[in-house]
Amino acid sequence: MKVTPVGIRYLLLSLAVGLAAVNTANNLLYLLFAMMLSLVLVSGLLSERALRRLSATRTLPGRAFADEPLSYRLTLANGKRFMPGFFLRLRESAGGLRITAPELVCPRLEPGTQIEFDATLTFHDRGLHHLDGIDVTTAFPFGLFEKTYRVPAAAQTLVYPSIRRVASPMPRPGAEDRGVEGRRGVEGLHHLREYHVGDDPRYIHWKHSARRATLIVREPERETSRTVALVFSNRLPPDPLPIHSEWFEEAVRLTASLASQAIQDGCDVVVATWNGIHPVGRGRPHLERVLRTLATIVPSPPAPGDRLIPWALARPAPAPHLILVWDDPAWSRIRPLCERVWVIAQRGQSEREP
Amino acid sequence: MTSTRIASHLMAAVGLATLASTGRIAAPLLIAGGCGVLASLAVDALRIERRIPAALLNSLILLALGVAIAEYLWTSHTLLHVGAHLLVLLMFTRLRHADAREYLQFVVIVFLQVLASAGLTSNSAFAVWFAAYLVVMVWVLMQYHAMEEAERSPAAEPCPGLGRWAVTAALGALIVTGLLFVSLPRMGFGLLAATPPADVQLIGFAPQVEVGSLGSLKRDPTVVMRVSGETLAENPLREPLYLRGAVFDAFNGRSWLNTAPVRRSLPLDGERRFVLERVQPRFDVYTVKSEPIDVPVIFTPSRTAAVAGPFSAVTVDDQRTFAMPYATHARTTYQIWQRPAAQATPESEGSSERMERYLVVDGSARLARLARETAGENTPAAQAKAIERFLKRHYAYTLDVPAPVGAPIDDFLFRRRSGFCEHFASAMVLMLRAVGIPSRLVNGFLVQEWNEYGAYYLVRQGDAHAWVEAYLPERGWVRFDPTPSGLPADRPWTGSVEHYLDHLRSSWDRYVVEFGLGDQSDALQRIEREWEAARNHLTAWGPNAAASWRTLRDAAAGGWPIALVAVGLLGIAALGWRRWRHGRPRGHTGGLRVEFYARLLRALAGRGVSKPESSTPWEFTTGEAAGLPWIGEIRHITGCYYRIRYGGEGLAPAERQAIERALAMIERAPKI
Repeated sequence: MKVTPVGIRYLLLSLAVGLAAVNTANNLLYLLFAMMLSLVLVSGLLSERALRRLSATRTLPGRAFADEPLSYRLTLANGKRFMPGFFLRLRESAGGLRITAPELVCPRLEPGTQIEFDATLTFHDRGLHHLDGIDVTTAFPFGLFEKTYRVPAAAQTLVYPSIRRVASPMPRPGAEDRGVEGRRGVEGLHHLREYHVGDDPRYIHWKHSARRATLIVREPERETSRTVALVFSNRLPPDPLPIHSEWFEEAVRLTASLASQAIQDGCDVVVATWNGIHPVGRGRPHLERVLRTLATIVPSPPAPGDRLIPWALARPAPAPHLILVWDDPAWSRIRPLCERVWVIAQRGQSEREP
Repeated sequence: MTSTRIASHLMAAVGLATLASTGRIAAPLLIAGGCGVLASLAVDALRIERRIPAALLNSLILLALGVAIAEYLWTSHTLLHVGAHLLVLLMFTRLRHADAREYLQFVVIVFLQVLASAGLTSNSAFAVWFAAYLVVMVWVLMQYHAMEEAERSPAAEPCPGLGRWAVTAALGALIVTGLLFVSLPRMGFGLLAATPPADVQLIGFAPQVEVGSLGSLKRDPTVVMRVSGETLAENPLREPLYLRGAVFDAFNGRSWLNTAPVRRSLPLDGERRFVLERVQPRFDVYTVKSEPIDVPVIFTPSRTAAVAGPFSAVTVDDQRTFAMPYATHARTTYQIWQRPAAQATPESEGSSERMERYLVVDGSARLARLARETAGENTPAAQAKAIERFLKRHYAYTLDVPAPVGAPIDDFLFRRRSGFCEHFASAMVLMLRAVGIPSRLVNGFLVQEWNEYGAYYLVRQGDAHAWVEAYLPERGWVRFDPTPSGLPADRPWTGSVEHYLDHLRSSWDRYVVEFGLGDQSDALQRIEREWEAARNHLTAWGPNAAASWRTLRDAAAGGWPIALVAVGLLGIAALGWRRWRHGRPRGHTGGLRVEFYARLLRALAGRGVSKPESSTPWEFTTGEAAGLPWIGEIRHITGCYYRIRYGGEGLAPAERQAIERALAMIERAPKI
């Protein structure tokens, strides 16, 4: 419970009346003092009643992008039999999350009814976020005290790194991707696969879908195919500073943005990190997979048998894009071979222009 | 007009009424205030949207401050009065509030008005306006909150219908206020309490009183005292109670004087009573609740043996009049112990010198002759009775007494032949003295107005009375009242309504204004006693219940039937509780409320058409029952069944009657 500024003044005034009653032994002042205290009690009781038996449901999409407002539907129901809920203010319970959620206002919610809000929510951090519930606040009936009740409405959302516009990482002409030669040819059906989020509905193969009782899409062949290899070294120095965490996040965002841009440009994309190497792919479903990985990626500790550098060395053309959080000397041999190197420790400026 | 406007104007009116209930605010200001509130209301009713310019409002505030300062410097007596007047003026600067902030300022101003009223009065009218204020304040505070929320979220819809909840909250607040008022510890000692002036100014109780002075009080209905006691409550129509205030032993031709030489202090007994005689258990006990009076007199009946009350000391003179050291200027409650009349003993007056002062005659020869002729040659008691009877029969009672010509008593006896109690009593004293009977004049109150609602006697200024005490050798000082008996004609205030209102006023004074630490202590002790009694009852209940159980068990063949009944009852109670808790009774849909459909099926089965188990009710209507002559009724009943069973709806009385008619028709029909 929080005392509002008006409530503080009210309590001070009550105290003054109480002191006057004690000092004058005037029972009528005692009566007024009792009245003021009774209003405090009634206020507490009514606000408590107004917040009781509220329930909320929220329909959140399973994924979102950091720093992008997410629209969703919030339903608040009043399960009481007699008393409406007055002047209810709804706000997402942030917990430890960095979120921005505009306050929603419900002046009156009749008993046994519900109200729907079109709400927006912005996550500022990537990751798998759990939302506990909705904080419903009311200062009813007199605006002296604000009481908050957390209506349970658990939900979880995977928040992808925010995507920003970057220069296209498409390989220069001449740098052929030999890894996918077999897929080249004329425009036609390459293969059929299950539908993934982000697939163009126009490619749904309805007959196969009906036969297999699941959505099947056609993977078309393209005339040409270019591959972008993104190598993200998700490793921090042995004694990282707090700034390294920020740089790490910046590197994740950059990797996601580069992947997004490459896929938007029609390239095949392969993303390699210390955690593993994502198989090459293209299109929105592949981007979703990449973003899912990047949404939850954490700094990887050094481990014996790491295969990232050998993989990068052995990788055929085109040369990979290397994203480094810090100027890691482990990559010194490979950096000259890369298409482009990004060292975030240098404020995101590329260390060496190719 | 918005409900916010209505609420604020109502609050302004209540604030003004609360101030008016004190009776200490200038009437022109209150009238102007009332007119202002009405005018503002009219502006809202006519939907005049024009705002008062801020400069004008500020000028009004400055003007109000200027008036207050001038009033404090030259006119008013206390800062509280000035403050109350200032608040009335300031209220109008915020009555036409534009936003929540100004609205709140208005609420605070009216609250301060009520606060000032609480400091200015203890009148019971305050109770009415306080209750009204509480209700309106709750509503206004809710409106303020709604306004604040609307300002905070302009896009949000307004919230109508707060009035019902305001009334509910106000009722709750009233109850809680009462509980808190009773339970808040009274730690105050009144260090900063304002000393109010004596509310009742009594005449006739000074050491020297001019004959005829009581006449100005006889039409005054102001309540001076309330007298209660077990003896009075048992028999309220007993002989009138005379409360003695002042006794006069000397007369100088125009005024009565009290020449009693010395007053002596009375000792306290073990029960903190100021004792003149030893108190015995059979003594009558009276409780006197006296309004603030400006004389230090303790009014007591004759034969008073002891007095107890909030007095620092009590003194008594040789005429047995009781007094405190100084006037308290506050409400005082005291108790009196009176020796019963049956135990009357002649009061020794000591030396004959002390009796001589009751024989000094300052009357004319005509008066002495009249006295002798009236008294005759009888015993002193018979003489006194004869004089009393003579005055009662031959003289008229009137309050319209002009200034006397010459000696006032001679004027009364021989010229005007009418007067009021003082004239009668003075004349009798002088006549008794003329025939050698020691006598004295007593001023006090004749208690005769019984309040049936509060079970107490009301004593008003108009009950001020004068009578005679004569010393009879065999009986001591005996009271005589030569004034013609009966209520004076001009006492229009003794109706039932007035009595009821006085009872309310008295209760207000007793339980609110004078409620104190002692009352709280009494209440706590009473609760403790009740709790002790309840605990004893419960303690006794255990063995009693066990004995009852054994008796029942022995009476039944074994204990199982009783146990089963008990379990069944408990089960029913639990079910009832569950249904009550969960609100919507589930049994209604599947049980009682759809019983009519089962009845329909039974009726149809009786006519040879049974519903197959595999059919739904609707399939039954379209299948086996489709060809029946009552298919319309069957479909209607089935539709109702669906509505109740699956829609959770209820039946209107008309529908229930229609179903009943249809079922009766089907049941009466012959078998197909």
